[in-house]
Parts: sequence; C-alpha cells; structure tokens
Amino acid sequence: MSNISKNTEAKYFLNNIERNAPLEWEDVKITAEYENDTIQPSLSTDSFVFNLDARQVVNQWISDGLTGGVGIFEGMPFDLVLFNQNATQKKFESFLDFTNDYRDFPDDGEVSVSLIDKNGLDGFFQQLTGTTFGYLEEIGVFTESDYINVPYVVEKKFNLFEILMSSIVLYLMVKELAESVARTADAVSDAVTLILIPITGAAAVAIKATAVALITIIYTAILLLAIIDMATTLFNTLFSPKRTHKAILLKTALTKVANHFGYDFITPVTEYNNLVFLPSNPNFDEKALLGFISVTKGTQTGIPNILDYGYFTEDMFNLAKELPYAKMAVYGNVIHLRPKNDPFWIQQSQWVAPDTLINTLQYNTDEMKATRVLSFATDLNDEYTVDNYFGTAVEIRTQPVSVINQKAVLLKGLDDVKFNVALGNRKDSLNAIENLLKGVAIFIDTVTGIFGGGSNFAASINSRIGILKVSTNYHSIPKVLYLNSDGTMPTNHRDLLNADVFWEKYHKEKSFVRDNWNGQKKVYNNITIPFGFEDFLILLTNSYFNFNGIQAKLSKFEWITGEDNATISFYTRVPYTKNLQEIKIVPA
Amino acid sequence: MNDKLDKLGELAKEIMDDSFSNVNKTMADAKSFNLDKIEDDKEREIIKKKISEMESIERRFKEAILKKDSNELNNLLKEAKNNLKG
Repeated sequence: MSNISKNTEAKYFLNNIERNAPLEWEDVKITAEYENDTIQPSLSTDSFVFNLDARQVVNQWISDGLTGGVGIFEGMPFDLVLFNQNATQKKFESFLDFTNDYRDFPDDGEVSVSLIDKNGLDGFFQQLTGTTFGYLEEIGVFTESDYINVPYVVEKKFNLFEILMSSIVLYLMVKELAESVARTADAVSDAVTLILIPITGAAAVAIKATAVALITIIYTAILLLAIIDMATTLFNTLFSPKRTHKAILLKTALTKVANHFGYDFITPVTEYNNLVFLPSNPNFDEKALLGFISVTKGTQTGIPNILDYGYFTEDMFNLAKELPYAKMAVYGNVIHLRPKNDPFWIQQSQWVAPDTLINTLQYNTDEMKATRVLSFATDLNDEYTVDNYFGTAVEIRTQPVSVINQKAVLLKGLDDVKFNVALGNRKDSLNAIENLLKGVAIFIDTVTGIFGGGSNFAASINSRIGILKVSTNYHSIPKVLYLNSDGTMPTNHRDLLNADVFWEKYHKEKSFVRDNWNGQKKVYNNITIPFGFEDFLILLTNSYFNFNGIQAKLSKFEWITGEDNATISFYTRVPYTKNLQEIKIVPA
Repeated sequence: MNDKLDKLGELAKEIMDDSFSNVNKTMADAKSFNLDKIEDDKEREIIKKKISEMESIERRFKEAILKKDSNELNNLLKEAKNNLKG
C-alpha cells in the first residue's frame, strides 16, 4: 500500500499556485489521533515554515484583509501533491490555519503556520464551535417551515383543589339548572293560565296567546344562555387549554447545520426519523385581569433557546452522537453520523497493515467500567419526568462469575453517560377533572345546539388523549420526543425511546460480556511499520483495517513526512476473559 | 352528576322545542285571523299593530338566538310583556 512512499517527490501549492517547498518539510511530524474511537482522526502537525515568495503570498493573504480580501480568519488553501517514478499522484488538500500558532519572522524571512485538513471532521467541528442556532435562525438558515407543531397540555400532577372546586361548582350548576327548568315550566304553565282567562274578542285571544308563547320562549332562552355562560366559564377556568409548542425534527436540525457549512448529512439511525427536539419553554402564559389565561405561551421557535443544551450547534451534534453511540466521518462532501456498530464503517475500510513484529501486547482493561449508567435528564418543572421515570435510566453492572478473593476483584470504574435532554410523557387518559367536566361539556354542546350550535367541548376533551403532557407550562430542560407525523405520541412511545433501547441497540457495543465479549480488545501501542503518503490518505478516511486477517482499528499514528515509516497504535477485538457477567437494572 | 347533566340538557332542549312549536302555532293562528271581521276600525288597527309587533319580536328573537345575544333577549322580553299588557 505504501508504494508511493518510496522515492517520493512533492509539490506544494498555496492558493492553487505551486510554490517553493516549506523549509525542513521532511521533518514535519503529523500526529493522527482517533479520540473516542472515531473513524477519522483529529490531526495535529508541526508547523510548516515558508520562506521567499511562499512567505510573501501567505502574508499577503493576511494583509489583504485590510483591502477587501478575506484576511486572517479564512484559511488559505494549501495542497500537498506527492508523486513518484510510477507517476502515481496523491493530493492532500488542507488550509493554512492562521489562528493556530502562526508566527512571522521578518528578520529571517520566514513564516511558520499550521494546517487543517480540508475534508476532515476537525474543520467541520471547528466551524460548529461557537455557532449557535440563534445565529443560524437570524440569518435565515432556520425558518418557520422547518418547525413542527407539537400539541400539548398542561396538567398538574396534583389537582385536588381543582377537583374540589369543580365538584362544588358542578353541584351548584346542576342545582341551578334544575331550578331553572322548573321555573321555565312554571312560566309555561302561567302562560297557559293567561290564555284561559276569558277575554273579549277572538283576535285579542290569539294575540295574547302569541305574546305569552313568545315571553315563555324568550325567558327560557335567557335562562339557558346564562347557564351556558356559567358552564363555559367553569369549563375554561378548570379545563386547561390545548396548547402548541414549536419543535424541530433532530435530523432536520442537523441537516440544515451541515448544509450551512457546505456538507450533506446522512444518518441511518431509525429513531431519528421520528425524534423531535423540543426546546425548553421559559414563557409564562398571559393572564387576564381576573387571573384566567388569556394567551397560552408554548415555545415560539423550534430551535434550542439560549439556556438550552444544544443551543451551540456542536452540542446538538454531540447529543445526536451520544444517543446512538455514534461516530461521525466525512466522505466526499457528506457527513455520516452512524452508530459505532454500523457495518458501514468496516465496509469502508481499505487498508491492510503490513506484517509487523509485535513487541508489546496490552489489554483494554482501562475501558472496563464496572458500572455503566445511561440516563436522560429529569426536570423539576415537569414532575412527570420524575413520576414516570421508567426508561429514563438504565444501569449495567459487570461482575465476575466466580471469585476467589473478593478483596482482590479488580473490576471498578463508572461510565456515566448523561443525555442532557428529558423524555416526554403522553396523556394516556382523562383525569378526574376532565371526567367531571365531560358531562358539562356534553351539556354545553347539547344546549348550544338549540342556539344554532357552535361549541364542541366534548370533542376538545377527547382530542387531548395522545398528546404531550407536562405539569407546568415552563419546562426548563429540553426534551426529545418520539412523535407521529401529526404531532401526537404513539401509545408505546416510551418503548421506542428510552435509555434501555439505546443500550440494547447501540451502547452495548461497549459491553465486555454481550455479543461474544465484544468489548474486550487486545491493544498494540507504538508499533513501527512501513508507511507512506498513500497510507496516510487512506487512514485519514477510515481507521479500520485488516491485521493478519483480523479486523483492527487504529487509535493513533505518528508520521514524519520525510520518512518511510510511522508508529501506530491499534486494537483488535479478541476476548481475553469469560469470567464476567452483567446485571441490568432499569429503575422505575 | 354527568348523567343528571345529560338529562337536564335533553330536558332543556325539549322545552325549547315545545316552546318553538307553541310560538309557531300561536303566531300562525294570529296571522290567519280575518281582520275584516272586526267592525271597529280602531280595534282592527290595534290588533293589526300588535300582530306586526309580535312578528317583529319573533324575527328579532330568532336573530338574537343565533347570536346568543342576552341583552337583545332581555329587551325582547320587556317588549313582549308590554305587548301583553297593552
């Protein structure tokens, strides 16, 4: 694989124009680290030192910032093209990073500057850092059409007072209604009596009968309207209105951010087709003079607000990675966010390690955590996140199967994965007040039918089933919700979105027990191998490789560009103990 | 409680329906009366005026009902009572 590394010659291009080679380029060391088991490395290089016309071009780029050029805060294209006698040519595209260790030496006629990979994740994440959703919305990247409406209802956890109040008022209302009906009946009776009074003239009798009938019906109508008013007030006072939040499909948020920075975005995580990010809601309802709610206030926009985890775009991507224990990589112009156990990663691997003498072998015992916890946040402003805790967290305890001396057991450590968002809760049934008010609602609907219709209170009660339920209007932790396309939550939403699901589908990749002891690895550090520019380019793209017929993955390599070898560190998945077992705890 | 409300709602609806029938019937009776049979010109004019007033009340009542206008209904109640007294 490293044929190009032999007898390699190089050309250097600054802003697409060939320039003289950097000084001592052969001694420049490139370190690639696959932190957190990433697919593509984070690169750090010694600075490149340019002199003569190359230095002039570099400094001109900076000074052009004063006269209409892009200046110091945009990297200058720097391409390294290597070729050999086989006419094989490889190109490494990068940018000069003036913000990292730039130094000019006028007396020596040299300028020193470091690089950043043009197509690497480093560049993408550096762009993400400090870029906020507020800014992206301000410049029109996110618009109203990106948001989805999430219907919800505020329902206090404990509403004994409201139940008591509604019971009393309901009793008074029924009593008043019964008396009103009786009074109306009396009025009709009186009218009949009036008609029977002997009066002279048939026309006068007919007119009197008509007048009495009119009085009767008007009187009845007035009473009924008064009762409707009272019932409606009772209903609106005790019955929390159905409200609407703005939220955003997590995948939409990620895609729009990636597009903004010039990338496409792909993720095969199935949950992300339905997973909606709901920002926290700092808004209080507007109230009328008498204290009744006049305007409900859900979230006004679907993007995270400034108080939320996720407001910084980098955090949103980190959340999207953490949930399905995913890795990100850039292939071509496409950002892939895929679970670590996605076979895609291995399919993309191309490199085969040369046969190498291994001097040192280690085990990844540092990755063994006796306790692993995955948990979503709880929100004290939304008591249902505490009350309905099932699925919010899962704990995995690893322990030995057999023990000789308990004091000598070496299993230790904690892997505490916290998702900085809370889960949503579904309104599954009507509560006590709603059941009480359902009769009122049917009554109002029936009676308003007499007056040409208009109310649909009974249907409005039933339409609340299946939507998001919160205990106050101002939840303080953003939520992730599994939603149907109409904004309702499926009955089994908690089965589809919970900590245990994410453990079983994705995070168990870490387990030292599950899937044939998958998490156990043999580790090889600082192995010297033949290495060249072509190897470098391949390993920039994918860190999986074939090592003596076994799948392996790099964790780090260091390459001095002028040399034909590098030191690499990597691991292979090989079980080394079966004296382990796991206990899973799902707190309810 | 909900059962009682259900029944009361139905009862209210029944009373209103009966009342509407009663109004329609009496109004039809009044309008069908042959005013030419009244010999006294003054009495005939009074009766004619009363029928016209009640037609107006009936029409405004139906409008007020659709608008759920309690104020107008109260006005109509007063007018109808005055009409009866007169």
